[in-house]
Amino acid sequence: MTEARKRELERTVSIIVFVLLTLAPIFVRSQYPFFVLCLAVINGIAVMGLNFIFGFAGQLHMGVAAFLGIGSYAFSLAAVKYGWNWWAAAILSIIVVGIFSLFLGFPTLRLKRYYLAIMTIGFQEITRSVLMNWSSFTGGVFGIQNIPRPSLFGLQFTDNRLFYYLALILSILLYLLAIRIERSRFGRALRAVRDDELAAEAMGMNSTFLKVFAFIWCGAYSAVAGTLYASFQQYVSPELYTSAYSFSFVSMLVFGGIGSVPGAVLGATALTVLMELLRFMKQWYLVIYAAAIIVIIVYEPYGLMGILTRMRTKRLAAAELSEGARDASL
Amino acid sequence: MGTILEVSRVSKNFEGVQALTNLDLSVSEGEIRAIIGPNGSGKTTLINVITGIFPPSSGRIIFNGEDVTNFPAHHRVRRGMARTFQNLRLFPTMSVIEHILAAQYIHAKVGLFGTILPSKEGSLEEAQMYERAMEILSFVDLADRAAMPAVSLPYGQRRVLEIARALAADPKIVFLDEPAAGLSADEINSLEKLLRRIQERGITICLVEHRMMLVMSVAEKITVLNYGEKIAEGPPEKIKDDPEVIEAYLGRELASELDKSGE
Repeated sequence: MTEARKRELERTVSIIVFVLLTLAPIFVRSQYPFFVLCLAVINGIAVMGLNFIFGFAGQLHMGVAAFLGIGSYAFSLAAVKYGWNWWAAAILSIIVVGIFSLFLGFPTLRLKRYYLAIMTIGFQEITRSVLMNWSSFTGGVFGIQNIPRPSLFGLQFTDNRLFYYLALILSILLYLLAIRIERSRFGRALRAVRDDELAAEAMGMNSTFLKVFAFIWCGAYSAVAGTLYASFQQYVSPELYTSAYSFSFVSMLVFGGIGSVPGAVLGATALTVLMELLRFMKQWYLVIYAAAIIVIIVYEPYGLMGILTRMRTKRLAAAELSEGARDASL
Repeated sequence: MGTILEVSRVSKNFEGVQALTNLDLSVSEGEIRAIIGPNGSGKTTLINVITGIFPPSSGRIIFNGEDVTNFPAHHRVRRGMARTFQNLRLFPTMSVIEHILAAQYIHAKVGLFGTILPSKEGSLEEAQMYERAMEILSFVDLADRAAMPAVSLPYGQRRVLEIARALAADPKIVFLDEPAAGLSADEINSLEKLLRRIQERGITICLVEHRMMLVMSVAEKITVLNYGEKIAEGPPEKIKDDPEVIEAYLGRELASELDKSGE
């Protein structure tokens, strides 16, 4: 499949997903499914972040939930404890997580291979226990309450529906930004590093810089997701940011299509909604959920995007074939 | 013509294995230099040390008047060194043209915000990169393959694509590690023509090669390595008859037999 056709498919998929997400609240009346939708959008932002480091740079990151947690807490503490303006607190959150990713990324990403995965698994656990036990600052197990909602141009986002659309608009903007980065020279260089680090360095690319660059973008996206999460719930507590949550981000990306920005959004939305749809099965829901992921991965390593690409390629080939046959019969 | 690359007394020791010993090499600007030697004689190690894949154990490398001995690989590329690999190292997920676009990364001038946010300079530079990529692809005769995935190219063209990718970095000197390995006679012929055209562009070529036909016809000067040491250097005619070179390739007994029969 050529680059132009790949882009066409990506555009179609992203438009369909975002249009569905825009229309979904119309069909949702009660509070709980609405919460799920909002979570799907927020997860989508976090998975787009993960895609920078895992998809583009090829480095497995097992601590997205920790980044989300630090983002949530940085925002919440600034907004609640120190009374900062919502937007200033949100920007602080991005800076704080950005600094964390710089300092974690630089020593680890200088090494080749799997060190990031090992480091982030550890970092995940450390973050959770710090949030849990540093009660004087983080509020410990009780967390932080009364987290504010934003206001913009006189609009108050206290209404959940309005807040949902704010999150969705941010998600679309971050989607467009991620696509721009992917198609820029930095995106190409990152792919080169992922494909063959030695060859990329022999072409003059600083692979450490590029991987840290991707990791910081991951941190920034996670911070936005963490901020939105805290502000939507108006409450944070440490037990949200578990390694299980981190693993689920990885499965969302793999399910949707690793290395693909629309795949990240698609995977996050599909799995968040699927998980809730399966809740009625009680203890069996995790089995079905896991089976769905395994089937996808075994059948197609590039997830849902891979399946869609394959279907599209087949259809194009069939169209060409029938065109050829028509030409021949003439 | 001046000297572009000066390697002096370079040694490389891999945990007890002496891969290079006190090696001197001096390459003039614009020449085609061949480095030959039996398997394991240290040719690829020499290229790896010069291009910065790993540092030498001792010795100095002066490139274009600058001591680059301790520079990381990517800094040396920015200063004008490019290379290909003995075992092809193309980017498996990229199309042909994307290889060339990616390799122009180092010479892009527009910064992060100019490239990521929509801007005039950003899209202008992107268009220039694309144009230059097509120019390089037509130079190596791969323009009609631009949109194809690199992995679907036939083997010979993949070798050529590696050379094209090295050229995209706009080098002063390019190191080719066995570019003719696995090529047919026809393909070697067109490779030879390509090498001469690269030289015409003012690019110095350092060629590590086993195919003697190519080496003898294209190289202006040949350096012969054996067990990590330089055993001979000179124009092809001289190297061809050098007894030490023949001995290194054929072994002492065979060489002396050959010598006798020649008499």
